[in-house]
Amino acid sequence: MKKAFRYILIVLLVAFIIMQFFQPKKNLGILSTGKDLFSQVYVDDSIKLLLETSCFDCHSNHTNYPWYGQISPISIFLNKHVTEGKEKLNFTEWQSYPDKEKISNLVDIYDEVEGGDMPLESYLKIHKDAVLSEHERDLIMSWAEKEGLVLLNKKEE
Amino acid sequence: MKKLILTPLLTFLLIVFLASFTFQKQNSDKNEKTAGITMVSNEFPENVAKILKVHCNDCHVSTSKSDKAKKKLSFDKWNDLNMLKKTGKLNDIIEVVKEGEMPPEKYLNHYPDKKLTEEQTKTLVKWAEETMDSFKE
Repeated sequence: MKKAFRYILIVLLVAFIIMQFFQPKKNLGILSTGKDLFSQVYVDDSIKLLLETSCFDCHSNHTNYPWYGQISPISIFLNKHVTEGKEKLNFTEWQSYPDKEKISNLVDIYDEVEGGDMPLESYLKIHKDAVLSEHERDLIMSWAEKEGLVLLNKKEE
Repeated sequence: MKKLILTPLLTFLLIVFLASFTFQKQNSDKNEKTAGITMVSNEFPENVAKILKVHCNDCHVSTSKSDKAKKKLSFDKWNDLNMLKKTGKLNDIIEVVKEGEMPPEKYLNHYPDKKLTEEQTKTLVKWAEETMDSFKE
């Protein structure tokens, strides 16, 4: 019985070590691509900082990984989150979205931040600096609304 | 002696349990109906309202059990949205309907007849595009 237990433990350990050689591709791209949000739209520095701290880890081409983000299977789990986040909204690719999609995204930003659904709770547990105060939430919401109205009132693209 | 008490007690509990279910069912039926009525009286054209009522309204109403769905969009609260939000939502509708993301697959597995036909998809997309264009004028 004891032998079997030891055997399982060794197999698990070996599996864990082998796993470390299979890491997902890291999200460590360049942020200023010329197509990113900040390179073509003027965004106030205070908003810029908030978006960078609270949203960019999953919604841009560059993630600031925590140390344990290098360890599999955590790295795989993180990678999945980042991929999903970028699929929904990627601030680095902002200018490649058609205007209507930009509006959709801005409305989603407004709603998600207002409802407290974003940043994700699981993310906030680890990233205390990403927690948004009520005032900060208001700042992001009014920015999103203002930006959306600019696009809405723009003459045909 | 113990059995003598236990059997009626269990039967009683079972009846209460079952009764609570039928009660809930009635309640939710009622909710669906009222939601449907509010919706039609909204600013949707009749052909669109018909589709929304059957294919979307099980989840996208403020009385929905799915928090995620109702937060994202509640059709009975459509009139409360401003032009900006409507534009955002209309664009989302076009996207998810065209891509076949909505109604979601899991839901369709249970209710295969809720799938949108090509005709219905076209109707929704056309309405969404026209409504967005009307905001521009």
